[in-house]
Amino acid sequence: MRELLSLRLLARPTVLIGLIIVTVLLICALGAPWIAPYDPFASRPAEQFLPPVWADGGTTDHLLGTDQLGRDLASRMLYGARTSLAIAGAAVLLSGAFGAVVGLFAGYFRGPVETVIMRLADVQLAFPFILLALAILSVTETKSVLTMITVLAIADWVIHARVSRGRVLVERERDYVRAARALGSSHLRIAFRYIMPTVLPTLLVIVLVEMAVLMVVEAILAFIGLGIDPPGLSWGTIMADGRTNIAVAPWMAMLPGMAIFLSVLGVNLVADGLSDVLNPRLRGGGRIGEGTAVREDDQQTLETPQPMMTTEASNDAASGTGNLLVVDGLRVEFPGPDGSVVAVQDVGFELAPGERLGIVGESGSGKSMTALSIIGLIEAPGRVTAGSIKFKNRELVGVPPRAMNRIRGAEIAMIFQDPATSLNPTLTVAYQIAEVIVHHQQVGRKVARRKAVEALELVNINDPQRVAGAYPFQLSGGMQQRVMIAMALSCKPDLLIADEPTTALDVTTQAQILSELDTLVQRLNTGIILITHDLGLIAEFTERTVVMRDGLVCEVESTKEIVNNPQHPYTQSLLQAVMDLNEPEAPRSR
Amino acid sequence: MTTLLSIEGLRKEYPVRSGLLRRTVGTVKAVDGISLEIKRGSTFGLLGESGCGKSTLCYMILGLDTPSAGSILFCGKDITRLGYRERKAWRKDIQPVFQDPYGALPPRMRVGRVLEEPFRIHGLDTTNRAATLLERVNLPPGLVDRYPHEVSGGQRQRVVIARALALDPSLVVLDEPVSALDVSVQARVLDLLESLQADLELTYLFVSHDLGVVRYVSDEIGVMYLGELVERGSAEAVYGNALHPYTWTLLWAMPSLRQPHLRRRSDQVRGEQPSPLNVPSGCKFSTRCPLATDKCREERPPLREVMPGHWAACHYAEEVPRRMRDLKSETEGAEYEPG
Repeated sequence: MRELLSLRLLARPTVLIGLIIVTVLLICALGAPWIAPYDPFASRPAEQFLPPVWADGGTTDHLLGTDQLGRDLASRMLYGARTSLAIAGAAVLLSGAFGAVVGLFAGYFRGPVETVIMRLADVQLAFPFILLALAILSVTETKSVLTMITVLAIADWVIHARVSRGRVLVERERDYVRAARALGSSHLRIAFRYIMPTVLPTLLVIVLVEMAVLMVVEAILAFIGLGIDPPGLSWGTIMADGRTNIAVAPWMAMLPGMAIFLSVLGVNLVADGLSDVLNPRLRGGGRIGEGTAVREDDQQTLETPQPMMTTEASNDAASGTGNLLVVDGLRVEFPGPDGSVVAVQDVGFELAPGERLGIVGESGSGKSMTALSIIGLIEAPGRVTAGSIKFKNRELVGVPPRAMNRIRGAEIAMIFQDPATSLNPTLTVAYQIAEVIVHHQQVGRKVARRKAVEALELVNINDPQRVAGAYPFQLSGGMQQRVMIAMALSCKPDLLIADEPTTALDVTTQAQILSELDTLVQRLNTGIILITHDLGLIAEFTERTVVMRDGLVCEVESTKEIVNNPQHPYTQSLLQAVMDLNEPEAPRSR
Repeated sequence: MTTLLSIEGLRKEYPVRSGLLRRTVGTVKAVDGISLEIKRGSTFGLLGESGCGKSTLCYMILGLDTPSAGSILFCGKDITRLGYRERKAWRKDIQPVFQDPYGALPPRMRVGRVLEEPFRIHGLDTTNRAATLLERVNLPPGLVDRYPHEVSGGQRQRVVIARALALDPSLVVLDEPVSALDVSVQARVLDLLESLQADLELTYLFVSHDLGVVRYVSDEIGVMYLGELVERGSAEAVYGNALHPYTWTLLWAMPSLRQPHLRRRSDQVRGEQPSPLNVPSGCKFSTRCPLATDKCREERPPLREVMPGHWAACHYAEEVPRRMRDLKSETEGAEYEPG
């Protein structure tokens, strides 16, 4: 596990650079007494203001030059790293731990506890930090390392508390917390044993980022004269020394500046890598996805996609072969650290204009991946690695993103399972539908809005004007899905892909939506691919069915045959499972 | 059979706040006066669509939420008003299984540890407990070292069931236990639940929106609509001779493999469940009911025993089966071509 973790980290060059910087930094800080060539406090009046070795007059005796008292800067930088790191590190651990616990309590217990803590945090955030630091540092007689840590920790806890509270608020509503309560677990146990471990990875990333911030803050304080007292030594104080002598010895300020810059960069790069490792969804490098799909044969690609605006023209094209869509040998892979995961393998089927095809399968069968590859929306790092998707005789695999954008919405539309997350909650329904129309039909906003209202009428909405002006969250689930269908059909596409269009809806709403969709596609002669886990819907809605399992096609047959005379053992077992549960005629197996 | 759980006039109201000053502008009656009994060793199926208050009801039974009014008697004792110690003691007796097995297990705890938690919480010996529990739900003992995300959805739900069984409860509240699972896995989990019930003399409250599943497991069925129980009776009675129009629409809404009838079933089911913020006056189902009259819109029908052991909250309960069947044959006669 651990090896895998570091390997994945090293796979990214930026993280590697970050790790190298941080390692060097740690070696410098920890090994200062052994590495440093001189005593950092020993002044040599004869060797004042020696420039670094690369500048005119520099010597190899003092690689980074000397300061106003002739002290060796390289040694001072090494010892300074020690203090700077210790201050930032200790402060961030202190404030991180305090903030995490305080945030945990605020988020978990809510009520007055939360109000007090979070208002306190608000007040502190509103109060200028420098003023706060001044106030604290002016009452203390000495500015030791310890006082610096205290000041920085006081400044920083708010960030950790807020992040912690935010994450806890989400976790406390999860069922595992309810289950723990139902078991009789105490609040403290739930907070620390259940919620804390889940929240911790996020907090660790924030701690790293904030550590970098605190290194800079420490330097700023030192620069304005609020650093640790001499002879205390940090990058901040070296920089402050350099400021007074900037005219004669510019390197004195520049060197600690560079050191801070590099360290902050390094720590941030590591934090970035860490958050990737902790968030499995972001694993596997940059965005690949649409348009970068790889084809096996390059011959039949579309060189310059013609403008595909009018449905009439494209209908003509389709009638040439009789098929709207031909998928052949489709393969979708997700490259991962342990080789590629094949999500879809050698999938092929055809769809005539106006035909209804069902793709049925259980989770992980590759049914959604197949649909997403048709519309070019496979998420990175997944991609089509073989096969072809011919839509109206045009190859869609390998079509550049911009051309695909023109096809999407206008000629191929898609509706998803959860209408609430498919619609933008901050825009009105009419605006969102009009957006699609404007994008694909070269009409003005006004016309588009009128067409949007017409589209709403089409999907059986009684008062389209009122719904048009509403925000999605003001509508019921069934209404939202009607809006999605109206949007998908607003440009009269030739193919509609419906991925579990009714699964998120109530049972009594499902049938209404499906029957409306049924009437509509019949009227518009739209081809449909219905993706579902529900054989009942397949039986009612489709003419032909593709049964998928583990990324492979088990059976392609007319729906009647599939339901009444399934050939493949998997189809048979799937049917039996549904029969046991749903068919009133079937004998109860108890 | 003796009554294990008895719920009496249970209510839960939530204030609705709005505006900058968070003023209370109304209340949502999530559970609006529910009474029911569950017999020891039986399965009570609670049927309802999302937003009908079935989860709130579960939370109150599990002691995760306090009722606004009414009582929950468990073995004759009111469990809604208990001190901390008493509550911790009876919690062993009522355990939950939730819908989403992904959310129901702490993501950073190994399966073995998850299964030991119940014993640790109650200060009991944990030796060999996890393996025994895994065996009980037909899972290999090797699973103890895995994290929840490393096992499949069906296995995860079995782990959740195992955890619920750890403390030998007498009542298990199953809130949509199979809805998130694939069909083939659903059947196996249901069979497991059934054999566990027989072996351990468990009582189930089985909550689901899925009629097929509820029928498969239940002895008695209650149908919920907008916070109220609209029908209650034995499984055979409710399925064979439903007395509430809402139950009929639910029955019609089931897709069927052998007789695809999309158009038909959609013609009989109209509209959507109103928002609980804006509940119709009179009978709550009157806005969607094909049989609704003015009386329905004005007067809320109480849940009454229409036939022995079969309750319904409808003014016309006696006529409902006949009239709904007529309605069905009317639309079935209408022209319809599948596909």
